[in-house]
Amino acid sequence: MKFLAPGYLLGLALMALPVIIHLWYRRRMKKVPFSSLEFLKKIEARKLGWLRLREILILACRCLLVGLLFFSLSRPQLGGENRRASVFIILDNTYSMGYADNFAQARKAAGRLIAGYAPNAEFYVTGLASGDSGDFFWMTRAEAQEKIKKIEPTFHSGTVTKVLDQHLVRDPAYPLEYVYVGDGQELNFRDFIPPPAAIFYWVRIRTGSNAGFVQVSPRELVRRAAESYPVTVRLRNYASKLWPGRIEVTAGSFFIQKDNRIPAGQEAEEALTFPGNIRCGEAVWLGDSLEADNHYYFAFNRPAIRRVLIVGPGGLLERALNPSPELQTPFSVHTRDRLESSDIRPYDVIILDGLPDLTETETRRLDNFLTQKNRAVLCFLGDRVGENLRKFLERVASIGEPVSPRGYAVLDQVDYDHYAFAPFKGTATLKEVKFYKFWNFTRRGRAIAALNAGYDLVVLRDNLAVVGTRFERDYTDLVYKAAFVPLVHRLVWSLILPQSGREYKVGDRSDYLKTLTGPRDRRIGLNEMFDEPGLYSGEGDTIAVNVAAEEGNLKPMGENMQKVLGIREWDLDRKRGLGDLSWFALILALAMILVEQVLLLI
Amino acid sequence: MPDPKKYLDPRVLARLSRLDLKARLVVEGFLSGLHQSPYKGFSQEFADYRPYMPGDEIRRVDWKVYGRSDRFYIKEYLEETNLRGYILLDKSGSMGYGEKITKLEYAKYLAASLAYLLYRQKDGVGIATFDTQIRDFIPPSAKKLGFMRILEAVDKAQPSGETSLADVLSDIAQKVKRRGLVILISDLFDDPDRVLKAIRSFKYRKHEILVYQVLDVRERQFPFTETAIFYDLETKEEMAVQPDFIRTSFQKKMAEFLDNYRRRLREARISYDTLYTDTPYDKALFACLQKRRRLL
Repeated sequence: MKFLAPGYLLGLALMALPVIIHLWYRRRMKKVPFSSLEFLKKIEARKLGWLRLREILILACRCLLVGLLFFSLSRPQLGGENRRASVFIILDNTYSMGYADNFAQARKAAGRLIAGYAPNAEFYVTGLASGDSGDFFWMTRAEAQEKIKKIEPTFHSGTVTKVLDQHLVRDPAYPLEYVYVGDGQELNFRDFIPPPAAIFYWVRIRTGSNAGFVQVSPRELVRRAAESYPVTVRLRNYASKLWPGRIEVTAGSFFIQKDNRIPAGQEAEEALTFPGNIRCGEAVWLGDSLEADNHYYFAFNRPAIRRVLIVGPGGLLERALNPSPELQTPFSVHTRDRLESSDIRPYDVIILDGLPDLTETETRRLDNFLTQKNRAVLCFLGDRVGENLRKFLERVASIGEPVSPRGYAVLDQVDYDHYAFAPFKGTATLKEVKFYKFWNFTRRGRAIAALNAGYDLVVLRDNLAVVGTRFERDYTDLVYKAAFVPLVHRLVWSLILPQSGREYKVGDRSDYLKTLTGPRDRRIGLNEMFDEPGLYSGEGDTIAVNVAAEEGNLKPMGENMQKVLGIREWDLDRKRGLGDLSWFALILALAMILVEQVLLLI
Repeated sequence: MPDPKKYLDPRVLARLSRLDLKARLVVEGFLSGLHQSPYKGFSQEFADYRPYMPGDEIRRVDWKVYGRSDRFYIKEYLEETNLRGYILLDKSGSMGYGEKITKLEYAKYLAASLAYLLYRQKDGVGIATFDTQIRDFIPPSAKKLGFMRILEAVDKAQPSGETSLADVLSDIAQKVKRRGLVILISDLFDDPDRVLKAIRSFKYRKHEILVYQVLDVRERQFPFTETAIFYDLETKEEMAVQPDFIRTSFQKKMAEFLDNYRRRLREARISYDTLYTDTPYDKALFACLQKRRRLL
């Protein structure tokens, strides 16, 4: 038998209390003189015997009542102790467990869980977001308890699926059981497939509701010095009630605060304008209990200058990428008529702007160029596409015939989640752009923009992208639109540094700067993982790392999802086996009261 | 004028200090309440006249006086008997029980009153006080000195010791040779068979026997409610008792005990009265006078 609150067992000593009270009362009992006890003695011995027995029984009832009450409070458990199993425990240490003292509760629950198994049961313990290596080995109970103590809360997100993929269970000595201890967000069970021939339990840690940042982003990549600087702050309320709070944004010497009320289950967007140029800063959301997603770091200073080579007639593209010296763009643009004679090694991006064809040598050189990291080729199709160029583009699209519709075509489908088009989400800007000439081609990569006639316009695959037209006056009126410059900038950036198209999240790796210094002077080298959110600086650049916003949605999975995934909820307070004897003891205690009352009435 | 009958109430009597006074007040009070006075005037020695009172026999009216004074007077005579009265007073520990007045106090007043009544009738009266054995024995005497010695013996009687009633009665029976009136005042808390046997031994010796069983009301009703430790006044033995649970049994047992005495004494033609400590004395005195009359 096991006790969940063994401290109460000390109360069993109070079982002696009724006896003590009885003896004390007896000592204090009034002495009454009487002429002769002969008659009292003569009263049937049986009756006196019964009275004495009754007194003893009442006393026993009272002692048992006290004992059973404390026994019940000590939460006796029967049956759990002898269970031998091979137990794979996943302790949720994602940042969502930072709600109130949830992680401490989870750790305690995991400890109780381990203690509840047989001494010779075997365990494997890992954190949901610990990033442990895949080394798998069974632990003893003591080792498992130690491991539980070592697992710390993190700013990571994580999924059970990923953990199970990383840790392949080997040679369980007993029936295998998986236990997840945490808040059980749906996100944590994304793509989860129940392990075969094993039970998957969930020890639920109750959580609350939350609201947090989704993104703080600049409107444009191109910044003009000393002009007002607009920033968009997006917040999401995951709760089913209106969430009031306050946004405070600090950037350099500027500080803006604004009260905000986020409707239930919705996102709210605030457009803030700073009076001057800003590089980086921190937004704080006041009015919430889960701290991790109440801070959002942003850094608008793009990475080091990227060299761009435009091969072809050039013209508007060059001006778009480097419009004027006073504009701070991250590009150094060079133009060549032909590729053959150029040394392409120093460049990060090569733009083939309406080039009719490539030589075989040029094709090989470009292929080699694309094999290098952070290199990209962007091809705009002009009036003619030669054989070699078609072959070169074969892996991303099979080029067909040129199309010149009567009138013009407009954009029909745009992937606004792509970095290049993200700023235009919710606007009609791109829908109004007219395209007069373009190419019909069969895509082999991912199309991020398509025209209304069913023609793909932009298709990309890895670091090679093809645009079925040119950004020139004869081809499109985009060049007259305000969207032209940011679109070109973003399109080019998304190719060379795909990660620049998204925010850095905790769990990502530093991928282009050799050394970064983060919060608390922590140094991060190339390919090292960001473990905490904050601003990381190095090599004259600053990047912002934030927590994954979706982890802030504390909504736990529902019963249906549990059923579908075959997850059984396990209340540690109601243990399996014969179960919790607390109620049984309590009922016995009540029965003792009843028996005592009956004895008193007899 | 104070009502002399009030002294028949034991509670009133307890307030007085002098035993002789108590005895006299009881008897006078008792006698003044009798409508008939058959107990005076059976000897030939003139005692006094007194006005006729309703209830007096017509034949006792002195017609000569009536002829002279036109009033009815009764002529009273001093009684002359050779009656010997023996009062046996139990002063064992159990007699010390009582709430307002103890059984022994009641018994003492009763004994004194009876002694005075007999003395007043010019009968010889003696007393024996006892517990486990005879403590005082004063042979019967009709003299005042004898009466005073009786009062003295009664006065100093204090409850003590255990009851050994049957043995003591046997001893007394040996001592009392001459036929007389034996008055036993006791709670009779002893083995009834042995006690009755001892009482009957007086009967065999031609004595008239009067048994007064003195009890406290609580000994019959057992009105206690609180659980308490009861201790025996004689043996000092203790016993935890929950009165509520044994009251009925106790009352039944006590009723059986009293009934046993009543029935068997009646069978033996022995007068028996149960007196509670709140019972007026006239009941006992009346019984005594009736018994005396039978002896004369």
